[in-house]
Amino acid sequence: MPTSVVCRDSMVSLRYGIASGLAYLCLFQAAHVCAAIQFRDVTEQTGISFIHTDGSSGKRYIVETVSAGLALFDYDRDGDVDIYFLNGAPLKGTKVDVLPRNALYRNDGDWRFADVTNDAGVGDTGYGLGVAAGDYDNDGDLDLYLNNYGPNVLYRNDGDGTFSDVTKDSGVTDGDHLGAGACFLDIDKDGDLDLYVSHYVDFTYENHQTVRFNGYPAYVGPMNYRPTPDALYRNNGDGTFTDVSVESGVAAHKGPGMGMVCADYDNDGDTDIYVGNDVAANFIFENDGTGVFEEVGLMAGLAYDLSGNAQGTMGVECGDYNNDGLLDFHVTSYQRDLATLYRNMGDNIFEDVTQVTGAGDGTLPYVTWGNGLVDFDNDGNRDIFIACGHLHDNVELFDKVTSYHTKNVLVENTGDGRFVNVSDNGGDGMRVKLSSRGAGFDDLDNDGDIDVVVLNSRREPTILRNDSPSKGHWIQICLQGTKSNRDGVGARVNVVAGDLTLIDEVHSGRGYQSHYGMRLHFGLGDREKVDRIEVRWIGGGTDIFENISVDRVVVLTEGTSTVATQR
Amino acid sequence: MSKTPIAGRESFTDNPSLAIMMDGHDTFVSSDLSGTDRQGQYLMSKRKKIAKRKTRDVGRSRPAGPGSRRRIRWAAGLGASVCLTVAGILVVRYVWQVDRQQQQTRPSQNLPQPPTQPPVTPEEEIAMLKNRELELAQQVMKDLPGSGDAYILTGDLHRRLGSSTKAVEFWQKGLQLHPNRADVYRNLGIVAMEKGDFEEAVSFWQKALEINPQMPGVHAAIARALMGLGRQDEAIKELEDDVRISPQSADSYFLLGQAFLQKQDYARAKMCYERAIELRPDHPNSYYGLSTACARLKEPDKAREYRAIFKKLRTARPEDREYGHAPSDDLARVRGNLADLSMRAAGLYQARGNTRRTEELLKQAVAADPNSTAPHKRLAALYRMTNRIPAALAQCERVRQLEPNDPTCHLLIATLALQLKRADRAEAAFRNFIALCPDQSVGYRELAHLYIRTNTRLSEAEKLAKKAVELEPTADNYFALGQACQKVGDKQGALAAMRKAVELAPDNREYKKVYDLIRYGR
Repeated sequence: MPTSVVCRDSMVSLRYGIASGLAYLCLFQAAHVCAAIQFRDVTEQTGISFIHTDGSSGKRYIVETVSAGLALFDYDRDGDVDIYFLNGAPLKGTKVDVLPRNALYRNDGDWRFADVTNDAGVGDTGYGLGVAAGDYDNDGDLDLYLNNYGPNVLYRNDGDGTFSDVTKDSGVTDGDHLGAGACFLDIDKDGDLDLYVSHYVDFTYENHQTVRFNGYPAYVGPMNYRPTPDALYRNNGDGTFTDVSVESGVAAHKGPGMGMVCADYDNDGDTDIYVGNDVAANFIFENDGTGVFEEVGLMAGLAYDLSGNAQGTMGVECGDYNNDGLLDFHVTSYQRDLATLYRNMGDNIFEDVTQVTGAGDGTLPYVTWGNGLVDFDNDGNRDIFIACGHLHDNVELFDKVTSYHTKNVLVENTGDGRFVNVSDNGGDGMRVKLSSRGAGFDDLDNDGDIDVVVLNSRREPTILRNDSPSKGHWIQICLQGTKSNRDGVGARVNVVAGDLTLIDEVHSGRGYQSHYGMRLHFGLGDREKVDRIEVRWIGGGTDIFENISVDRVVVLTEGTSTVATQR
Repeated sequence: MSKTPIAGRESFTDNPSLAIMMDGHDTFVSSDLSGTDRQGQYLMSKRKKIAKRKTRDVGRSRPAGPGSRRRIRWAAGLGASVCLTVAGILVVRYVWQVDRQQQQTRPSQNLPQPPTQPPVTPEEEIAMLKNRELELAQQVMKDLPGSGDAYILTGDLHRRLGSSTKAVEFWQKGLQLHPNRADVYRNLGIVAMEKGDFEEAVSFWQKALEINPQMPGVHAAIARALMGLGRQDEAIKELEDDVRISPQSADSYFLLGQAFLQKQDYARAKMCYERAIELRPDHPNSYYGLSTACARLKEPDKAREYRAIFKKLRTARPEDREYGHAPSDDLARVRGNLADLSMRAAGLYQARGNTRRTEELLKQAVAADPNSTAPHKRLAALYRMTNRIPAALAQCERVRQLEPNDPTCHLLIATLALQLKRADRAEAAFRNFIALCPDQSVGYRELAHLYIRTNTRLSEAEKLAKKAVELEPTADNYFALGQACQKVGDKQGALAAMRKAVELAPDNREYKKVYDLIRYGR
C-alpha cells in the first residue's frame, strides 16, 4: 500500500475519531450541564419587595442570627399558595424611621404577588422567628401563629381576607421568650389543633454576650446561655388554649430549641414531636395518644448524629426518602457538620445514613438552615434542598473556609438510596449567593412541580421557579377533615401507583421555623394513574380512595371515598 | 548594682552582646525606652558636669614657677588625657545608647519589638499581638528568602488566623522547596476536608503517607473522608492500617466501628466499639456506637444499658466544641501563639547559625508569654550551647519558679551550678530533684559525686551512692559508691564497688584506671 494512502486513511480515521470524541464530549457535557432539577430565580418578576431585617446595630445579639422563618399557605382559599415573611424588629440600640413588619403576599398567579399585609392585618412588628399556619378554630381557613422574641401573636383568619389578633383572648402570648419553631398538632385526637411553641435560649439584653474570633467580634453560640423548656398549649375548643407544658411532660426537658416538625415517628396513629436543638441533643417527644409525652430521642437514634455528637440543629424535616413506607428525618446543622439524614429502620429506631447516602454532600463548610425533602423532578423520589448561609456576617475575616453569603445546596435522589449534589447544575436559581434562613416548598404556579421560597437574612427573599424538564406525573392532595381537624394536620397519606408506594403526612410548621406543604405533593414518574390512596386521620378512621387520575390537585374529605378536584 | 529582673523585659546582663560591649561594667540598663531615655539623660548631664568642672578649674588656675609649671604641665597633660578618656568612653556609651534607642524605635526595620506601652484593653492587646505575628512572619520571609520553612511557617500562621486560602498558597510554595514535608500535606488535607472536598483531602493525605507511612492519625483522617464519600470498604482498609500503626488508639477502633456500622456489619462494629471502650473506658461516642450495634443485633437490654452509660458520660463531659471556628480570643492563648511563632522562627534562624536573631526571638517569646516555660528552656539551651552558663542558669531558675515540680529543671540547674562552681546551689538542686524523683538513682549519685568532689559530707556521699546502687545497680552508680567508699577509707568496700562497675562496663577505661589505682595503691 502506498504510503500516501495510509496517511490519508489515517487522517480520515483521526478526523472521524476527533469528531466522535467531540460529539461524545458534547453529549456528556450536556447531560451534566442540564440536571434533572432546574430552578429559575424569578424574584424580580414577582413584585415582592420584602427586605428582611434582623434589627441589628452591631451589638451582635444572638437573636439576630436566627431570624427568621416564612409561611407558604393559601390564606384566602383561592387555590394559590401565598407567602408570609417574618421580619425582625429593631433591637436595643437600633434606631429606625419605619418599623419593619412581617409581610403577606397574595399570589395573583403568573408569578405576580401583591402585598396585602395592611389589608389582611398581619403586619406584626414584633421580632419574628418562627411561624405556623393551622385552622385552630376549624372554621375552614388557616390561622397564623407567630413565635417571636417577646410576646407571640395568634392571628385568626376571619375568612374574608383579613385576620384578627386574638393572642390575648386565646392565651398563647407565651411570655417574653426568645422563640423558635412552632407547630400546630392534635396532641389528644380531639379534633382540634393544639400548639407547640419552641424556645431557643434565655437571652436577655442584660445577659448578652459577644465573643471574638481571631480578634474579630462575633456572635456567641447557644452554649453561652441557659436552655429553656418549650411550651405546649392544649386547644380548649372555644378559641382559647391552656398551657399544658408541665402535665404533658414537655416542660421537664430543657433545650435550645430551633426548627421542629410534628410527625408520627413511630407510626402508631398519633402525632409525636421532633424538636431540633442547637448544640444539644434533639428531642423526640413520643405521644402516648392522650397528649402526654415521653422524650425518647436518644433511644430512637434521633438525638445525636452517627458518632454520638450533638449537632447545631437548625431545621427539621421529614419524608420517606427511600419509599419504604417509613418516615425518615432530615436536619440541618452548623458549619463542619453535615446536614443529616436519618433513615427510619423500623421499630422506632433511626440511623444516620448521611455518609452512605451522600445526602450531606456539599453542606460541610456551611451553616445550613431551611430544608425540604421534596420530589422536585416528579420521579417518585424525594430530593433535598438545603438553605445555606453563615450567621456571622464577618465570618470571612476569621474563617476563609466558609462565607456569609453562599449558594444553597440541592442533592438529587437517584432512586437507589443515594443522593448526588447537583447544586452547580441546578439552574440560575441555585447560583444565588445570600445568607439564607427559612425555606418553604410548595407549588406556587400550580403546574405540578414544587417551587421554592427562601428568606434571606438582611436581604430580599429568593423565589425559585421549578423549571425542571421532567415529564413525570404527579398528584397533589388537600385533606379536608370533618371529625378530625379541618386540614387533616397529622393525617398520614399512603399513595399507591403501580409499583410505587409513597407516604406523607400533613404538617403545620416544619423545616427551619417555617410552614409549607400542607397540600401534599407526590411525584409519580411515568405512572399514569394512582391505584389507591389511603388516609389515616388523626382521631378518626381510615379512608380509602381508588383509581385516581393524576396531574391534578385533589381534595379528599374525611369519611368519604369521593375525590374532588381543586380548581 | 544587682540585676533586677522585670517580667517580660530583657535585663541587661542577659544580653550577651551588651555584656561584651560594657566589658563588665556593673550598670543596670532597662531595655525599655523610658529606661534608655533616663540613661541617656544621665550620661548627658554627667558629660556636661565634667565639662563645666573643667571650665571652672581652668578659670581658677593661677600663675606658677618653672618646677610647678612642669608639674602643672604634667598634671594638665594627665588631666587632659583622663578627661579625654572619660569623655571618649562617655561618648561611645552615649552613641551606643542613642543607636540602641533608635533601633528600638524602628521595629519595622528590624524584628518586631515588645510593646512599649501597655495596651488599653485586652482586645487592643490581642489585635496588637496578632499584628506582631504577621509582622514577624513577614520579617522571616524577608530575612530568609527562598526558605521553604519560612513559607510553611507563614502558611501555618495564616491557617491559625483563619485565612485558609492564604495558608494554602504559602504551603504550596513551601512544598515546591520542601516537597517531602508530610506535615504540610496533612494540613492541606485538613483544609480540603473543612471545605467539604473529601476527594482532595484524601489525595493530600495519601501524599503525606507516601512521605511518612507512619504519620499518626492520617490513615484515620483518610478513612473519615472516605466514609464521607460513602466508600466504606476503602475506609475499613485504611482503618485496619491505622489500627496496626496505633494498636492502642481508641479513636481508631471507634472509627472502624463506625465504618462497619455503616456497612451494617453490626457484629464487627460491636467488637470494634468494645475494643475502643477497653482502651478508653470513658469514651462516650464508643458507647453510643456500641448501643447502636446492639440495637441492630436485637440486644435491646444491652442497647439500653450502653445508651444509659453514654448519656451519663456525655452529661459529665459535654462536647467541647468551638462552634466550628478558630478558638475564641483569649489573651493568654494569643500571647502563647505569639510565643510559639517566635520560637518557631527562632528555630529557623538558629538552623542558619544566626544566634543573635535566635536569641532576640526567644526573648520575644519570653516577653509575649512570660509564664510559659518553653521559651525559657529554649533560651537556656541556647545559652548553654554558646557557653553562657550564668545566663543559662538564670533561665533555668525562671523555669523552676514557673514549674517547681519539673525534675529535669532541677537537674539542669545543678549541672549549670556545678559548671559555675556553685556547689551550694548544685546541692540544693540535687536535693530538690531527689525529693521529686525519689525512685531515680541519678539524683543520689550526682549528689554523692558533688560531696566527693568537694570533699565534704563524705559519709553522706557513701549513703547516697548506696541508695543509688540500691535503686539501679548500674556501673555509674557502683563507680560513685566505690569513690565514696574510698574517700571514707573503706578500701574493701571501694574495691568491691569498683570491681562491680568494671564488670558492668568493661570497656570504660576510667573505671578500670580508678579500680587499679585503689587495688594497687598506685
